[in-house]
Amino acid sequence: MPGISNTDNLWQALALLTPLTIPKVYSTGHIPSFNSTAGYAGGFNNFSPFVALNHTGIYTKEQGNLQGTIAIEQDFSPLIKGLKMRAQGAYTATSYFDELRRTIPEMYYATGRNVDGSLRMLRTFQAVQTMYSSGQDQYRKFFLESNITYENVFDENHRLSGLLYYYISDHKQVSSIPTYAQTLPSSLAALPIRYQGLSGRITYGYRDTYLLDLNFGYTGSENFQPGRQYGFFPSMAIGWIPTQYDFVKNGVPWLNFFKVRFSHGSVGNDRITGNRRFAYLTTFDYTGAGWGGTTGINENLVGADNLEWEKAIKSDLGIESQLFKQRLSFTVDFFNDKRDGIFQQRTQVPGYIGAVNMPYGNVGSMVSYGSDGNITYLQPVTDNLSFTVRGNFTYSRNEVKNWEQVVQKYDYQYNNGWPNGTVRGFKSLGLFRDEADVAASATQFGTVLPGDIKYKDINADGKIDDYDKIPLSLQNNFPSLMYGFGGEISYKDWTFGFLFKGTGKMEYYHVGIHDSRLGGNNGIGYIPFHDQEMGNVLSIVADQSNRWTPASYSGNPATENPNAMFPRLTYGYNENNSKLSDFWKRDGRYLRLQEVSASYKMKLQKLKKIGISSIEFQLVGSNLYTWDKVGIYHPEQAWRNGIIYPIPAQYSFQLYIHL
Amino acid sequence: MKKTLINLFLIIPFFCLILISQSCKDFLDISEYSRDLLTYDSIFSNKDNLEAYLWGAAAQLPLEGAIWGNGSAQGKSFPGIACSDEGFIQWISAGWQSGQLIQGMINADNVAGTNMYIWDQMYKIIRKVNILIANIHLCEGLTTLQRNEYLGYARFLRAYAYWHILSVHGPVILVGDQVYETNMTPDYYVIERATYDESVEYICSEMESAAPFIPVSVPISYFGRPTRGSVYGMIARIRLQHASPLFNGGGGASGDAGNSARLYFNTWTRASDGKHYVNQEYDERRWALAAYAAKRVMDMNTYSLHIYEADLFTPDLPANMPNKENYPNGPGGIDPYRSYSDMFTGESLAANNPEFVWGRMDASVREYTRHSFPKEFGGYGGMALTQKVVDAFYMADGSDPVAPGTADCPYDETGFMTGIKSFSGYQLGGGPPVFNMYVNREARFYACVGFSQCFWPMSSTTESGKYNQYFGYAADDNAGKYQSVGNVEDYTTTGYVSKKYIHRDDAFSGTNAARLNKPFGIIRYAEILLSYAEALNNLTQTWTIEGSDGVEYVFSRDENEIAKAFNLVRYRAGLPGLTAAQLASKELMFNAIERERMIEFLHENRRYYDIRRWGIYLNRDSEPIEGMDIEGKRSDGTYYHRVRLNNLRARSRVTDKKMIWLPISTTEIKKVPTISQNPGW
Repeated sequence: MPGISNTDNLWQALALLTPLTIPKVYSTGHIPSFNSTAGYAGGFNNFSPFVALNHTGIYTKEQGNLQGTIAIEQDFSPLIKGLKMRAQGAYTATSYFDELRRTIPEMYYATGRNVDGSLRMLRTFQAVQTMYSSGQDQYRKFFLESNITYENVFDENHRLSGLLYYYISDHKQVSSIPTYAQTLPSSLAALPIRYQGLSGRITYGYRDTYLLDLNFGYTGSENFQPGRQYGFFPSMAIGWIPTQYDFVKNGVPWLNFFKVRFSHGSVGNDRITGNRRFAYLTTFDYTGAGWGGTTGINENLVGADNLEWEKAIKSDLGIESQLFKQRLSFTVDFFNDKRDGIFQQRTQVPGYIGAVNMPYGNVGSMVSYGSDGNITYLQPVTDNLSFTVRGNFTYSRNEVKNWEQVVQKYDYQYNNGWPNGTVRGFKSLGLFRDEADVAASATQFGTVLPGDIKYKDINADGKIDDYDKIPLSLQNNFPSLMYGFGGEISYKDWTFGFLFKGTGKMEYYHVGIHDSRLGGNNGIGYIPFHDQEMGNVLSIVADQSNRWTPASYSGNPATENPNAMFPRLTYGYNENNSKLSDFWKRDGRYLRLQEVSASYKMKLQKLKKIGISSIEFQLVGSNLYTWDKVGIYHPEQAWRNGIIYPIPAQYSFQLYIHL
Repeated sequence: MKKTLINLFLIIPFFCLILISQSCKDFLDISEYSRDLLTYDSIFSNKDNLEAYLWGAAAQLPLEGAIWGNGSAQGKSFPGIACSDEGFIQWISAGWQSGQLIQGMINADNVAGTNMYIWDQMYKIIRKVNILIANIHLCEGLTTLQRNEYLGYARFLRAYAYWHILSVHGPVILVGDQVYETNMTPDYYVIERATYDESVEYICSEMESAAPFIPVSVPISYFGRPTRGSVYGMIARIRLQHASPLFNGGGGASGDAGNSARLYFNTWTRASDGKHYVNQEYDERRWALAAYAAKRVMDMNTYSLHIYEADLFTPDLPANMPNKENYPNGPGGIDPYRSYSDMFTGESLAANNPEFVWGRMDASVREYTRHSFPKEFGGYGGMALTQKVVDAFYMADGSDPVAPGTADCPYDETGFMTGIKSFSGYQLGGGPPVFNMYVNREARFYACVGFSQCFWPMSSTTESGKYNQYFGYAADDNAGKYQSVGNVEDYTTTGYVSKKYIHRDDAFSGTNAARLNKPFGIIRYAEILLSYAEALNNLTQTWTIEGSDGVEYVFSRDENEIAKAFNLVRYRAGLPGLTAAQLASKELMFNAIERERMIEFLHENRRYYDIRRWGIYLNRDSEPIEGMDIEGKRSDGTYYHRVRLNNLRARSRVTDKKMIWLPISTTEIKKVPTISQNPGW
């Protein structure tokens, strides 16, 4: 990787600097850089990818991995048939060693020309000799498990098995010792993450037709206070396979296999987002003292002594079947997860109780539901020719049932009842037509002129503010439905295959989404001149019909198109037009030709003599074509306006030698 | 079979090893690591930690001297100077939230982000005290005496925190000794505010019961810790506020003040029982209680006004002074300038000052003197005094500054003084001539007011050109508006700056520039004296109050008692005592008290509360801000006439009855909708 940044930054530099801003190298031989500070990531994408790749040194990363496992297994079958015991200990150690040799060349920006025609150079970066820095990290894990299993069949019809499983684990990582805004003493934050659990399972099958499965888990985590460390998580599953009956086998011969299964049970989570550990502990700091005292002690973090495992109840109903001499097979699952006691930092604890900060509590709840399935059909045509088609889908949705929020002014400000991650922003009403339109509308942001985006005043209070933000999309750039389908045709030694992949409704925003890499709004590189000289000016902007142009400038009132794709051109950040609103919402759904392959398997007697059974030649092309509505970017890059490493099309030729 | 047995011999010890090496029970236990960290158990089992926990809570009190409306460096601060009529600033940047408040930029939505919002922080103190009260029995090393002393400090601290809330935010939520759970559903937290009267009674009764356990004096090294006298002094302040018109159904006053309780709070009632949050009925007995509270401090015989005995440099009293007896019977024998000034500038040793009923060293006072120094001398220059304050100061003989003045102390708003007058270590004149308005004034005037061509010794710096300066605030002067380079708001808009806390050595620019450490008088004995006089002045009948010592005290409007207390403050300032006419009239007496408090406690954060409790906030605060004409020049004399400030911030200054208190944050009210917001917010 280049010494100055990671590969993503190369794409950022590509998108943020137009070829007009700086050349590859100035005619004087000076290495160009647009600016030293005014850019993002410390100004490091203010110079071209060419400079970043060739003049900034090198960054290397080594990773070492050590793994040791020792296991002992004991079969007690001679004593009790089907009883086995096993114990295993594992040690994993991973270490990273990063080295950075960074140089920065002397870089310049040409601000103009001198009277004699030579370039007037402004030095933007001072040369820095190779700086060496390294980073190390270590991770290690102990894992110890033992189990007792039992499996037996009685009277041919009763299949019984049991499992008792015990484990302990302990892992820690140097770099993951977190630094909080509210600091937990690092002597605690550095403690290893530990689990200890006992789980068991009993399965019973009668004639392989009725299946029963009982499980439990009793798991402890170091993250809770003694007495609440353990969570109990039982679950059960039942199954029924009617195709095992003789009357079904005989009466419905085309049905080869049919199974209905249902499972219901609970699982737990003991980790709080952001790695806030030991949230039950109240911690203290030595502080200054008042009233003539010398030392003070004050609470640092307030603990909540009733924290416990977050629990999810998961249910799943599934059907598996094979039909028509097993040519058609399919599986469908419907699932519903209800998650309660989600860790959330409290917001409704009032100030008058005097807590120094908000504790965490098991307050959130959420449901998610959905379905997935796949289907395969295999059709032999002749002995030499056959074809297969298959398809799959996944559909999932979720809904926040309880998300603790401070009492809000309006109902639509609550997260409850909406999916997790709902995008909230302004509703746009197109572009302002004229001054009268601006004057007659609610107060917006900054100086608003005709051609700027007009927002809907949801609460009708005459000004556009946070109270006017409403849910715009269920999630940013995330589809609830994903599907795929494909097929294969085989003729003699030839096989031809293809695979499509696609998404259902997926919405993204060109502008208004916070992008930490850009230090702000993602509108740069989409809205022209959003960041003055920096940022692409897209060719779609050059097309006048795509943007609002004042009639006073174009001489034609028709160019004041209130439904244009872009608002009026402004130079620099336009506060009003850069807000997150559905004006910038686009449809990101796509269907992609994921893979096309052709292969030929050569079987020659001569080869067999030298020990080779066959040779297979394969030509594979992946990510070949996409059908979408995005147009200017690849759909999976669109939400970042292309400032991200793209998914490349790949063509490969593969040769397999089967022995 | 044989193989199996061998394996069994291997596997059984292996299992044992697992089970023994990691005793399952302790595997998840982190107490080994957290044991050495502080916990409530380890805090309350150890006397030193217990004490640190208490002083840690006290450290969260706002600095009482953080009154200039800033305080980002010190944490919490008070609206104070910039939000009353005794000062005027232009600053409204993030650090100057009192500037934002007076400009109407603060509302219930954003108030929680300001330094002035002390609601949450005071409740943190209250919670800590409640935790301490619930756990102090765990500490075995404490003697009963020590335990009672800690509990005394803790309960006073809690009551004092409530008092801060009551003065800044209005009626409090009383939580008693309860330590609320931190992780419950909203219905657990439903609560209403107490009324103003309930708040006061709780605070006073807590302070009364704490006082006997608080030592009468503290060692010098603990200067800043409250004493029993501090507690009694605080009760005196609270009782006086409680008796005052705004909070006492008019307080026996007439006119606007008499109507104030109704005007401000008539419709503000508690939802559950319909009680007025602020009492609408006048109860004269409260004045008697206030008189007793002040008298109790006086009767301790511990405190007296700070005086500096007359020396060679002390000026003679004006010839027309009616009473030249020595202090305390008259203004003689002391140096009024140094008696007053030295306790603010840091010259006088604070810990020995008999006038500090409660005081503390306060770095914020020291550092914020910077806002009085001109831009070119390392300062920010904009801490302006209003002309109203300047006019309030008496002449040196106690007459009013009205032309032509008296024969001994002529007053003139034209012309200039010639020559130099030196007295008490102060130098008047010596640079460009001093305007006659500033000549022949009382000592406190020279201690407090930095007027044009005032002499600034700044003796700590050794850099030539940085000491012995005369600052002028006219447009063509060295500290005028147009010298404020860089920041256009760093100049005085009235032609006056606050000089009260500035020592003659203090400097902010030049080699070796340094400032003396300064105390802040949280309660000065002068306040107790004036409060006593004020309380007595409001009595129309005789009241008998049973004191905390079981003795019955009788109070009535005794002119001798009023004069005895009040005149001490006057004499110390080198002024004559009250006239018989003033003593005879309740109204004239009130005027004298208002003016005396305005002068005596200038920039000590009393005026902000005084004009509110007297019910005259709207009248006083809405008066236009006046000063010298800073657009005028010294060279042609156009500077030297009084003008209404022609200034953006002066025009947009907000006077609104809602500003009696700061609002409670919208967030808090949304969390607990039964908490009633202050009127008007």
